[in-house]
Amino acid sequence: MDAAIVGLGITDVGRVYGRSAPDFAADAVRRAVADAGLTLGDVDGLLVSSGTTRDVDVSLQRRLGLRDLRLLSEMQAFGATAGAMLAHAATAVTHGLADVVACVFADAPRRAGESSGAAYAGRRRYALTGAPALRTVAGGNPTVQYALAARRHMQTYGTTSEQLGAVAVAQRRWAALNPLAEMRRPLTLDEHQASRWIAEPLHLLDCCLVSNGGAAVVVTRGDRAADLARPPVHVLGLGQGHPGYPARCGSDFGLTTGAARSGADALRMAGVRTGDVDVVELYDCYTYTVVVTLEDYGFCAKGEGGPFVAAGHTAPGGSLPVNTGGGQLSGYYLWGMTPLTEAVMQARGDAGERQVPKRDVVMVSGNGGILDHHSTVILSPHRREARR
Amino acid sequence: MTTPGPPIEADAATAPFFTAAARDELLLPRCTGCREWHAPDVTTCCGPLEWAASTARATLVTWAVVHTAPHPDFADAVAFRTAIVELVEGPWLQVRLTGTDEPVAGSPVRIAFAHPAEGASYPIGVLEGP
Repeated sequence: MDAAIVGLGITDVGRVYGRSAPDFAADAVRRAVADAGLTLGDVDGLLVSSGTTRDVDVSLQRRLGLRDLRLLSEMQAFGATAGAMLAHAATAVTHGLADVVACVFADAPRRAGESSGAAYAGRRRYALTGAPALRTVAGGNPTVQYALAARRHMQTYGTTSEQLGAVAVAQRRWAALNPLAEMRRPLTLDEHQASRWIAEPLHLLDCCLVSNGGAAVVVTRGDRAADLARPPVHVLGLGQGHPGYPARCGSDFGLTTGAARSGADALRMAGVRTGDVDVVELYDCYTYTVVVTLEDYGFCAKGEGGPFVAAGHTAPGGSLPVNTGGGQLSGYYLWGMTPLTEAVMQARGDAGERQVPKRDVVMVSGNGGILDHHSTVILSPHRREARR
Repeated sequence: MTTPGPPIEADAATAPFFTAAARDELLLPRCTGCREWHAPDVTTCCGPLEWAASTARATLVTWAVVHTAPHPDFADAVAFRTAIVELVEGPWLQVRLTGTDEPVAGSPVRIAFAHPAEGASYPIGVLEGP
């Protein structure tokens, strides 16, 4: 594997209206290509990923006027897609299937004058037939299923709502330092605890934002990266984990996720240990996923994720900076592109006030479905010689 | 009391399950090869599956209190509990949970059935003690 991220493009993000997801996607690719010091004519690979609006597809090639592509696909592993796209792009450039691959995600679920909850409610497809209908009449939906997962973790390991709140508070402190973040006002644990229930044990402030926008990265081979406009961010390690939880006794649902396998594989490929990791960008659709992913990656023992965050380790000034842009909770919600974009900024040393001092190894997660899909990427400003 | 939530219907694969639910009986897929019991959505095991009667006794795995209606037809029903329960045969089932006790993981749950005015009958959980 010898690949690097050489371009980063983030559109206006958040409550940005009047633009479709394909509009954001095209904008993000243009920005990422320009950031790399390249032109659209240099791009010979395009990987696209759509969110809830499901309208970003391979037709983005025509919209961008890209000719004679050697690699083109729409990919979907939900929140794990950004890592999956990066893995596909990195493999492609390493083996010469393409030279310059743009990977893009965009979504536009929010409408002016509507709450973030309404953004999803209007698009939800309800299973009303056969076995999947049982979850519908049980009162399930994605947030409720995460609440069930979080409750199981709390019942098994003693994780508390205050510990989940510590995730939200720590990330808001990071967001205050990030001009790209939507929620920058300081947040207290009391405010977290007083926020309304969405699905108990999850408060409103345990849940991520809903954002319109797009983000893209440009990937090329590691040995070519140094000649481009910006400092390259090399891909050292990759992993995925898709547990396929059986709905039966013995299931680890809520306790251990695909991060355990995915993280171990990525660390092994990168030739590093958790102790070597300087900064961590985790998929935080809910506070709980930060806690369980820290455990599954091995930054603390199983069941210790809540106390680890509550002790302040992940906050600004802590021993393990986590979600340094505010994450999806306080920054912006672009699925797996939220942690990946922040990781690139940190690895480049571009993160301004929130820049961590040591940035040799950056670990990034993606989490999709109801903990069904996980991807891990390990990035570094330093290139490793291609390994057999 | 009217049953909250949208009306649902069987498909070809689950017709026996919902027909049995209408007569207050819980059927689960069971493998005729290894004799393992499965959740209602499972269609593959080492041998052919057949529908078999469950004891309808379970314990609580996890639960949540739903405060934001997950479907418009639940708008008047929030807040209510939803739960994943583990049947004594092994499979998990997600059900609305009734009962006044404060739940904990491992609490006993009996499967009962909702018979809505419109649509198929389906299982619900009744918490039977802490």
